[in-house]
Amino acid sequence: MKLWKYILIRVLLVIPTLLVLLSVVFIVLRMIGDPITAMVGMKAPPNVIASLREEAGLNKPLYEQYIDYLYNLFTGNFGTTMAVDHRPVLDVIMDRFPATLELTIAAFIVSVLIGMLTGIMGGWKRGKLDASVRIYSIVSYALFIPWFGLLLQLVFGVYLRILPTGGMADAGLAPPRYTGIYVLDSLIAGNLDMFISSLKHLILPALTLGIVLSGVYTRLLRNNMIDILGQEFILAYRARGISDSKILLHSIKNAFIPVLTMMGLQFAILLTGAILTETTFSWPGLGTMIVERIQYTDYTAVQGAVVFFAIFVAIVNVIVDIIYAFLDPRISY
Amino acid sequence: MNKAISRGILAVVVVIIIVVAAVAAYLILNQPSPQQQVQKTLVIGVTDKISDLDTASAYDFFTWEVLNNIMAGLVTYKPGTADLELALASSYEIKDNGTTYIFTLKDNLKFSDGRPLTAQDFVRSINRAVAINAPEGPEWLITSFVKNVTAPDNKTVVFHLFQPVSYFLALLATPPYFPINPAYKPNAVDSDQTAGGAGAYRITKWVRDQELDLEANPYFYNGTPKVSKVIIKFYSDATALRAALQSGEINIAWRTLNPVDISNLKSNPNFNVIQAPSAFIRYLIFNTEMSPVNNVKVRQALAAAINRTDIVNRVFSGTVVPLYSLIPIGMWSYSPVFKKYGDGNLTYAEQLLQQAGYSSSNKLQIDLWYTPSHYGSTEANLAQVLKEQWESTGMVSVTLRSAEWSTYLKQAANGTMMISLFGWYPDYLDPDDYTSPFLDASANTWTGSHYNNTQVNQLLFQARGLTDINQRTSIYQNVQNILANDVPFIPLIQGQLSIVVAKGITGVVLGPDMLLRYWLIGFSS
Repeated sequence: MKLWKYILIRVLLVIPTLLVLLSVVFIVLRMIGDPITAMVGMKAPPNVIASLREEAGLNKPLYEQYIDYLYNLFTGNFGTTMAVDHRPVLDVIMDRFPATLELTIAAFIVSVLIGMLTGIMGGWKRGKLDASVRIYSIVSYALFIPWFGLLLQLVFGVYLRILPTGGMADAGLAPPRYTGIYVLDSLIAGNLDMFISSLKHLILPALTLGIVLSGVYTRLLRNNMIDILGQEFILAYRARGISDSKILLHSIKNAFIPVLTMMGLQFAILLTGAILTETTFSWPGLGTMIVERIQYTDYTAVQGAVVFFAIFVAIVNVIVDIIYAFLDPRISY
Repeated sequence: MNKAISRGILAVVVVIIIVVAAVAAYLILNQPSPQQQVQKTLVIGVTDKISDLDTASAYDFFTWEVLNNIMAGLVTYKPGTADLELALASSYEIKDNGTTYIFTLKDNLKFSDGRPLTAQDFVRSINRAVAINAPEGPEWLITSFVKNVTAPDNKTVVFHLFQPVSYFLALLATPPYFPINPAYKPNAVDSDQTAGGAGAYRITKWVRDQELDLEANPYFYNGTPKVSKVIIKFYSDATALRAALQSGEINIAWRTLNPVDISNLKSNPNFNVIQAPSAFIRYLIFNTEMSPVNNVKVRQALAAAINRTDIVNRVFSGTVVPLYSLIPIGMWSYSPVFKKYGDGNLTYAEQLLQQAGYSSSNKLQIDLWYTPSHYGSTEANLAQVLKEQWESTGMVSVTLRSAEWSTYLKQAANGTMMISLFGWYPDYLDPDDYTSPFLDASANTWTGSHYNNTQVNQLLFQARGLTDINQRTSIYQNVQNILANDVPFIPLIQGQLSIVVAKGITGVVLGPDMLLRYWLIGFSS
């Protein structure tokens, strides 16, 4: 199969995947109780409740609601938030998504860097260092994000007072909004105080999420390194007198390709972990938005956010698969 | 590539990385600490949220607090009390047997952007709220009482009521009656409008769920705030809020820390914990048409078995106070009528249960409902403690049931819950708001209690129309006595407002209206 055919099929496969996920979201959200009475509370007259149900389409038969739901989503209409602000859900999502993106990118970099460093060290050096690396990979992955985040907050925020415990910037130092990514916006604004404040606030949440997820990369890269280093072509390199540094470089290049696939899968976990991290650090991203809207029983907003996550993860995985196909000529597609 | 050159490049890259890291570390560690920065500005941390900056639709307590700081009305509560005083009005008179209220405004009133504020702005704002009729909004506080509002001239506001309302002044202290800046959309809810009104502060920045920045309003009618800048920072939970307070990022931790955090912080010398009774109450609802709680002896027995002190200490770590009536402590006409049952009075409870035909071999079987998250993380514990207290009589068996808030409300309205735990924040500070919604059969359908006492209905109707506080007090005390006999509801505890402030913060005044007045707060020298 040619590459372009592979890419096309890969993209088209996203559709049935999303269909299944959207259907699950639809069903689950209708099992949690009536969102209208939760919103308007005890004092609302029945006619008000009826009017709101009609506005939300909840008075229609379930199959009609489902068709409307799918049609709206596929035409980019995520609906209007039903609680508090009554804004287009997509607007609310796009207000918050840059914060999640900032956190996940930073955490991703941290997890890959730490994972690569430890994995390569463990696979290359072996012995006691390797044993430590293996323990690290297990312990880091077993860490509970809220607990670990709280620990870092206590140590660096409360006791040492060198890093802030929450939020994206110090009071009054939030940069003007260009992209919604504070570190970037402060650079665009040319404000050093804002930049440093944004960076400081990013450190603990990025470390929390990054360290927890680095264990996977550590383990994978370490195992791949050992596997590669045991192969005959490495033996041939050594026999030819090629330096350790070049052997190391070749090993890393070969060991890294499966890690690339893992990055795509880990991205979904990163976003899930971002929900816990954002809540712990009061990081105003999509994760905290989902938690807030669940508490409001604002089901259109929750539904929209979950769908958005699903689409985003699906797109990221498609991109990773395509990159993988480009990078590894051994892959047949 | 030549080995020497590639090694040289590598060495340069490493040096650059080390220098950048060192500079970054220096800058980060030498930036003024959060505590140093917040000295210039008052920073208040909350876990609450602002729903809506529009008086036509905002109907939650924290948003009302913010609105009270960026807007003002004809009257307001004296800080720390339930007493009303004139605000934007300089005087008022009541005519036509209490159905006409005429207010004269103070001179030279202005909105926070400097444009003049006249009586017509009151008319515009109030009529706007009524016309918009936001579905879950507070406009009923106007439409249930006010026939019309007019402005015969720039300084006179006239309200014509459907009938005399003894607590109308208390209603005027609520945001739906505040004049709002003409920048608000005239015909639709304007949730993120920052123009405000004529309050002590004006908004300079609003990032929803993250930060609200305020600066002193130079046109405020009542002097200059002690602190010219206030920032409200929003936190996702109480743990994050506490961490921010202890790290010095905020000066004040307001709504809401966990009870255990408040207890711990009391012994921390860097903070002051200020507590005051609030008007928030918790209570039980009985479905008086559902067996076996349709038997008044059963309800009385359960009332006797409850030990409020035990609840206060075990569930809320001493951050609330026992409550013995639906009307809160501190409000006029409050009468602790449920004290006649005692606390944990098992002897009396057992007597009553025996009179109702129950015994240790023929136990009373009851369901107690609670909702796990709406009232906070302590709810399951509260239900469990009540279960233990009732079962300690040896004659009661309690099944705990729970439902999420949306379902819980529906079940209450449908009257399908036998006994349920609920809470109440007041709309206005008047005994009517703590009696009519529960005991008046025309208003209490939402409770699912099916309580209908003709005498009570008549008494409450009568009290609403009276203006003499002594007469009203007498009526509400009578109503409370009937409540304690019929026991369709059992009051449990009254919230305490708890605010934790860093040392050096002054002027924090808490009152039954549960609103923090930012303009009174300052830093000691």
